[in-house]
Amino acid sequence: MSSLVSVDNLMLGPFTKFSIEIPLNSLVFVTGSNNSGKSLLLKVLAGLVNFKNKITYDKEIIKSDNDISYMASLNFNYATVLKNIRYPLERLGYEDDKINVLVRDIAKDLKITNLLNKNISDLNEYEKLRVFLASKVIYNPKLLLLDDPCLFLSPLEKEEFMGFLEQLRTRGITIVISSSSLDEVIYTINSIIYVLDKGKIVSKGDMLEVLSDDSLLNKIGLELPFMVDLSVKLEYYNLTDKINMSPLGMVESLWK
Amino acid sequence: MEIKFSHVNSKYFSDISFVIPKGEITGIYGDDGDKLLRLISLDDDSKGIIYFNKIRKLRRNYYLFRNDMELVEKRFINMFGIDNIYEYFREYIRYKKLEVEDVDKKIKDSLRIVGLKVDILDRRISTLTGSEVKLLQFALAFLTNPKVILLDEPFRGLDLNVRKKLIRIITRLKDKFAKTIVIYSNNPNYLYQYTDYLIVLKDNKVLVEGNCSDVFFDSKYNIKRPDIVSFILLVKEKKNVKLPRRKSVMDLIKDIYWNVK
Repeated sequence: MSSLVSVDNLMLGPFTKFSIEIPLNSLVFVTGSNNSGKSLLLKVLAGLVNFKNKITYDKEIIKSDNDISYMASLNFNYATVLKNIRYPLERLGYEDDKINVLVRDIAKDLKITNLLNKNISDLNEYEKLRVFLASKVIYNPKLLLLDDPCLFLSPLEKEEFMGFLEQLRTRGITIVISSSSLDEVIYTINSIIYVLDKGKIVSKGDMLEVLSDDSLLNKIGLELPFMVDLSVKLEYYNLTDKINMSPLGMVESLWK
Repeated sequence: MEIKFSHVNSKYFSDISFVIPKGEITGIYGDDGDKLLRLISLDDDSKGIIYFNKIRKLRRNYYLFRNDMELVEKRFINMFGIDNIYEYFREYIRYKKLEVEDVDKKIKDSLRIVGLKVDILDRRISTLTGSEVKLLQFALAFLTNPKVILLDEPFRGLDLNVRKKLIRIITRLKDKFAKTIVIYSNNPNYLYQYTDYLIVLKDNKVLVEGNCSDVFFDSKYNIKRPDIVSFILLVKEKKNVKLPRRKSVMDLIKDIYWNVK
């Protein structure tokens, strides 16, 4: 798999000789304890930190800054939902007809059609997040970097939001998400997870690989999602032999 | 202190009644819980019968209660546009009209409570990490020595170690200094672990209030439950096995072990 962006031998803040590769069209989670360097890494990948010679982008795909979309705090420039979503396209000089079609499509995908005529101040946290995301992906960037987007979402909202990201991925957007909890990781398919601690990658792999190392994760202060935690501990007592994400499946296998 | 709202109306709530008991950590759960925190903090233009420690809130004693409360926002809002942390603390003390003899000592004490090092005072707020900002917010809230501390999503973005530290601080404030603590969270797992009393909102009304564990284990309510509670209830429903109420997975595992072995 070719990499869309890679960092080589970065020396900055908590990072010493830090390298990472983000494969094309992947969904990558960067997780870790507080102060591990998650947010900083996303800024570096977005090219926002002046260390550009350490970062290599695939120039065939990322041709300009417009192909990278970075999103941290939700700072809206306009009062209405519609204006915030339209603005990036207006700035890029799209024609009105084209804008209307793109707005309609992204609103449908992110289930915010009924919010388009509302004011930002009347939205709840999850609605704001989806509107902001719409404004960040409407011009079809190739690389999307999300700094802890799920921070204020409830478990059900996290699950739905991860579904939206999977959908964006099918449009050819490579997505990197930082996260301070492991809860949202379980709602993704085929994601790559990097666990950082004090500026070092201490674990990487797919969901099950990374989540089964409970002693490492607990040591650095990351809590396992309930079903993973339960499975791993039951495994230790020989009561199960695999990670079972379904509560019902687990109950049935325990009380046969 | 006990807080009692009865038949209160505001911009978001109509005819709402509930009690925040004293000596316990109260959780608020459900949509618009953050708005309820604001209602309690008397931020809203509310009308109705409100008691703080059996003293009725009236227009003339409103400030008495306002000054006893601190609301820790879920996101830090830089109120003064000051980036230097020491300067920010000083401005906050001026803003709150605190009478302090030794300002530097007061600031250092407050930092010590939350476990931040003094050298943070030389830093800029814009360079802090997410968890450092959260701890800074707590340090600011403790400056005024409030009787009531209202916390909007306090644990978000904090890893287990920092969260445990915060809970130790909150529990000590409650036990030793008789502070009233109210926590809003939309994560049932946190509320179940860290709060004693729970108020559940649904459609701008109080759906139920009571002992946190009792509320979550009551199958009558259609709410998203803590994972461990859902699991224990599922075992009861499918296998008619009644496992004890537990808060930690380790305890649950032992129950399961004795039950299926």
